[in-house]
Amino acid sequence: MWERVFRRAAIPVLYSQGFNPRPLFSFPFATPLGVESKAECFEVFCGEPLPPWELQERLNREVPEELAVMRVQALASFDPPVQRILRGIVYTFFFPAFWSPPEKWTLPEDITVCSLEGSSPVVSFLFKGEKVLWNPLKLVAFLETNSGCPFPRRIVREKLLLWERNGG
Amino acid sequence: MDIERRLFYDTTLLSVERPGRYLGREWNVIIKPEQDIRYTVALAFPDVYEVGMSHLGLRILYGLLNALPGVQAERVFVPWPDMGKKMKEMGIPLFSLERKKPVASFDLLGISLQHELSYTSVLYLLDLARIPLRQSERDERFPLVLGGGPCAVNPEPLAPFFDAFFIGEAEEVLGDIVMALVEMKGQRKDVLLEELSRFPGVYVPSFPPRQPVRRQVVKDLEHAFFPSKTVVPYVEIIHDRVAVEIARGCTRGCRFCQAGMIYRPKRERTPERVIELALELLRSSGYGEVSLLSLSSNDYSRIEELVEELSRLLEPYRVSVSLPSLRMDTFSVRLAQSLRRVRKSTLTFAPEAGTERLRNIINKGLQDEEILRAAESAFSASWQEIKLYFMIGLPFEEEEDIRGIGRLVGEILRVGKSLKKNAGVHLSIAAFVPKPHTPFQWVPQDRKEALEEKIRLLRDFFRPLRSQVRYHWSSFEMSQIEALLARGDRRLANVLLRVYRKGGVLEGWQEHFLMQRWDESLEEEGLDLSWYLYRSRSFGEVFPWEHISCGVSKAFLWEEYQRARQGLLSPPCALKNCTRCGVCGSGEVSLSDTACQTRSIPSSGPS
Repeated sequence: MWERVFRRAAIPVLYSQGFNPRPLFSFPFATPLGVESKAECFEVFCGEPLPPWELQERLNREVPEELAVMRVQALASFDPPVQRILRGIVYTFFFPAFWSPPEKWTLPEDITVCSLEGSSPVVSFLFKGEKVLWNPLKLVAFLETNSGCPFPRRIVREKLLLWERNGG
Repeated sequence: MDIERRLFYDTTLLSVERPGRYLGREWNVIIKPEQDIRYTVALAFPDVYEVGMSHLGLRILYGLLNALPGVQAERVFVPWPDMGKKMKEMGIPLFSLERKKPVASFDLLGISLQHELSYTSVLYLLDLARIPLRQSERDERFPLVLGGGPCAVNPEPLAPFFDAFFIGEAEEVLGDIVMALVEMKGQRKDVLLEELSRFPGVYVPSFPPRQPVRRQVVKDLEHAFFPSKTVVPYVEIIHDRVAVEIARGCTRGCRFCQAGMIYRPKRERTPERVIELALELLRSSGYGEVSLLSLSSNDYSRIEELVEELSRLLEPYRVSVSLPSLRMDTFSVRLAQSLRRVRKSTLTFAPEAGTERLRNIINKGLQDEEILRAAESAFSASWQEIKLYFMIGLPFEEEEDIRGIGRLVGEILRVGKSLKKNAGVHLSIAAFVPKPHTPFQWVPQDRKEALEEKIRLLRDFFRPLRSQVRYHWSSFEMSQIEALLARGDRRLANVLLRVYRKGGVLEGWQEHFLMQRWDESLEEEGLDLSWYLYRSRSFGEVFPWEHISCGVSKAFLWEEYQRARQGLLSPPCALKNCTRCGVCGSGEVSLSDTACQTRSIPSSGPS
């Protein structure tokens, strides 16, 4: 889809070499299958230097109304890999309505419960540190065995927390 | 009831395969403001999203009807059985993708008939939409059900389910018909139908026509409507690219080919117009490939010029050009090289038969030498594999013709090997299906056992070549049913109903096809499959499709059949060398100017 959005926006993208050239897009922390997402991040090699604001504006003219490019950041070749700028990911689990979550959660390290709303079966978890790139379905399995949680009806990736870079 | 809410906010779509099929909301979708809509049309395709969205005709109709003031056209496809079951359980009726409205609430329901095996899916569509299947059970509270597409040239097996059929090409007439329906909105159904039956190209089964209904033909393809925007799906579809139609009709007159007969005469768009359309469609869609469609690409009079110019324009943007339906006698190295500028797509050729004798009988008229030369061009332009289509069970076929396929493939590989170490051939083998309105409409179909024997013979041939030849063949039982319905009559409507009630849907998919359902249903109706398939018909027989005229005269078709019997080739149609098929009539439609320049089988290479 993004390949087509870039083409509609007339933004040249660099291509891989070889027999069947592919555009150079990478999705360093892709959402696992079956999980909804409100925040995605990808890296792309553009064929011409464009100011981030212009890139954002041109892309936003060509994406379906349900989508928007929230932030564009230029990366230089000496910047650390994109994986390193990720500080954490928030996932929300929608447990079945009949089930009330426990007062105290037993969680693997680097995962914390954020914004627990009373006895609502909707719970958000913050993944950070080593566990940032954990598949949330692994947490589901962990909770099933350790806390007897039922399988959530929906899992939604709420947001990505990125380290701010100095100097833009 | 709000279908959208139930699909998106309940978890319905999360529990079915490929939910992107039911999403709608694609790029370039057309939704008009509620207050501007006076008349709604559901454009239904009796197959799943990926197949229906790959069909250019549907995209043309979508653009054409939405361009009419006050008309909102929306797409409808068959849900995969998992979703169909879910919809029935949850009480969700069949809905349109654009505004998620129940199909039964539309004013007009158009159903595209592309393939005989989709007929039971037509019933499935109506049933899921909660529309009574038989037209006699529907009043004006239900949408008017209109059929169209190539299968409408023999609409009889489906006649009891449709209010009307539109026979032919929509661009010049359908807009007027729909606008008339807009004006008559709210009228009684019998009034509507009588009015409809007066339009050219419209067949209303409940008002038998006094003279044959003439298939409608676009006279001026250059200026005919063609959409400049195309809906871009989120899920991968079968033909996931921009398609521009460069020509309609074919001059060759292959005797088995229904398209070659019913889409006569051949008309072309100029390269300038094709390029203009391609650039606009690519710009608005963002696609990375454009396919130039026609029944025979290299019969387009300025094909090399067009492909070269378009590839040159698109190369900087990494957009590739592909050509389906390539003929081997005019395929050149030059064409091969322009085609591979960005990325190579598959090269497909259709020799159809294994020997020159049989190719003359079917009027394909390719010489072995020409086939080998085309293969040489492809392999020398660095293709590793080419794809070849063959048919078995053709009329007057002998064992020698089957061996001929094996021999020819062997020769092609020998040529390939000399140019490329890993040269290979991919074969697709289909059983011949006699179709109405063709010179072979009188011919019996080959029996299944005979076809199986022929396949055994071919497998023996290919066994030692296993690493270089990939091959697959279509299901012969599916070909039998295709043949049954293609030349079928109105009695088959009850068979269709029975097959549908036994669970037959999406039967064009091998995994959903079950011969037993057809055998049982035919028996219950007291009908005999072999009477439809294996009987040789005489010239005097009156066919169930004779009230539909494609312009090509029955006498011409019979003459062509007799020439086939004698193994005689007929020349391609050209203004100077008219074969008098009758389609041009008194000149209201004729071969386009560009087609005048068509090369007539050059013996030396193209100039």
